[in-house]
Amino acid sequence: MPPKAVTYNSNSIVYFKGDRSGYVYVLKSGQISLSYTDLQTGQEVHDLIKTGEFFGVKAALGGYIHDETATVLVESQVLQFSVAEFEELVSRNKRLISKMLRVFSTQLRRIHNQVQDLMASETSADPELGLFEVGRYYQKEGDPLKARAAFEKYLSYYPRGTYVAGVQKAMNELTTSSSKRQTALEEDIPSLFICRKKMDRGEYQDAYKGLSLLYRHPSLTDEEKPETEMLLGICLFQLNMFKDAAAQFTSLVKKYPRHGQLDVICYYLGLSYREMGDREKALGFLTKSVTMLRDNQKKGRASEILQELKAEAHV
Amino acid sequence: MFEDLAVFNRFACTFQKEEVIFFEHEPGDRFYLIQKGRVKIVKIIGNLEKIIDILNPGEFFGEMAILEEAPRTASIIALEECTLLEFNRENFATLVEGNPQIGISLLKIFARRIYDQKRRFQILTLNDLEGKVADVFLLLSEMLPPVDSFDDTGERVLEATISDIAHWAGIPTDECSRILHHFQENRKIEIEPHRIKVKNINEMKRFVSSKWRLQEMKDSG
Repeated sequence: MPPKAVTYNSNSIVYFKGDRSGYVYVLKSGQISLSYTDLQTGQEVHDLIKTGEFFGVKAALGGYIHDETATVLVESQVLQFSVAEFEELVSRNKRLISKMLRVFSTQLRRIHNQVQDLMASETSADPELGLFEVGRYYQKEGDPLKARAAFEKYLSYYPRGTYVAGVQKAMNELTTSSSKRQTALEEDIPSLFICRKKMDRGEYQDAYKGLSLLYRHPSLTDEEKPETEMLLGICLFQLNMFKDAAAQFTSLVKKYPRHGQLDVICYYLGLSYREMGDREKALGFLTKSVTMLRDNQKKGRASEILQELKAEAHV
Repeated sequence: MFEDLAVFNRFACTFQKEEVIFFEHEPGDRFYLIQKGRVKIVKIIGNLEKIIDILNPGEFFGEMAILEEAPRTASIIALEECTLLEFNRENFATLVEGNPQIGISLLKIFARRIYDQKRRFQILTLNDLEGKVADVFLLLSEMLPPVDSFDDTGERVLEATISDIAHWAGIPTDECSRILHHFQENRKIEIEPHRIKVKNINEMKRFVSSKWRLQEMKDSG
């Protein structure tokens, strides 16, 4: 069945933002404007559709609501395709598919990058450093297979790269620790990686048990000890054992005054004291954590609790 | 799904469980179509490995790199033994030209991903934490098949864990857990091990709209 030709009067609407029409449109003659809100500026934007241009494609193909309003500026004629009709049309025009794929992928990468910026992720804009950091992440998390695979990929792409020395050092460390880890596996001791995964799933009781076993096992490297002790504290906090959590974090600060995650430790110390009703100590640690925290979400939360604590004092 | 792919069997490759197909930041020039098995898309965000999605047979990945010659934006790891068809830039063009249906499927995937990312952006820019979590419910419900409005009670069952919701909302898991339990105490949702039941999605829509209105009023001074 051929597409339906529809005539729209001036000032009429083809579809509103939020509508779910299921049609793809082509402007045959006239003038139509697409109005939408720019995500970054929050400003209303108006784009004119050119004659012969498709519109409404993403919403129809994705099966979602339109995120723009199509307003007819002067009397216009529009061809209206159902998704099946549109598929038939583009199947016969391979260049059109390739062109649309390029446009869509550019849009997707742009919005993906905007989201990543908002997430304040620590991903690197430098792919060479990024790949090196991926390897280091898996090494730190106790996943030697993935760490080794990432480092090997690094060496294949960047044989004379900036981080070659660091990669080789890390690969040597992986070889040394793998024999110790084998012993741990035979004794059913979970890795730091597994314990972190359990915490991520909210399985704090299991994670605490695993971390306690791991902490006493020779497979745990000296570099992994400070983090393991911190994770034990976080598990205690999540299990509502606030006094034990505070004791764990306090001893951790004394033992490792230059701990790499002192900001997180101060944050949890503040939260633990707050739960224990020690307002002064909670205020002290949370104030300190706000100045240090690199994680924006935790920083925001710490600021909110500080405000609550200050407000409570005035009640 | 795609009937005439037998001619591409020479491009088949196998990956074992937990094997990495590619890492984020790697230069990318290959595109993959899953024939057998499942893979997970992961990304290291803030020192945590987050699962972005799980892909099944018939689905694609790696297509953005092949179209734009840019580094990979996420890592892909085999969840079980997988057979994949691996295409480079040259045979990708041949694949799409010979199978327009694959090109159309890719267009649909891109369209959905663009929409999801736009919604995600909106959620992240909402300041109110409860509003963010409620907006994640709306986003996840938008991914469900449409419900006949005549039978619609407003109840939605979302296949997501607390950690998934926290990831979508861009907030720490413990904070998300606190907010979800608050919603549960107020009988707005029911938390189950691997899913969340929202009692009335329309009420959530009104809640999110009110949070946006409040934010806009604050922003405009």
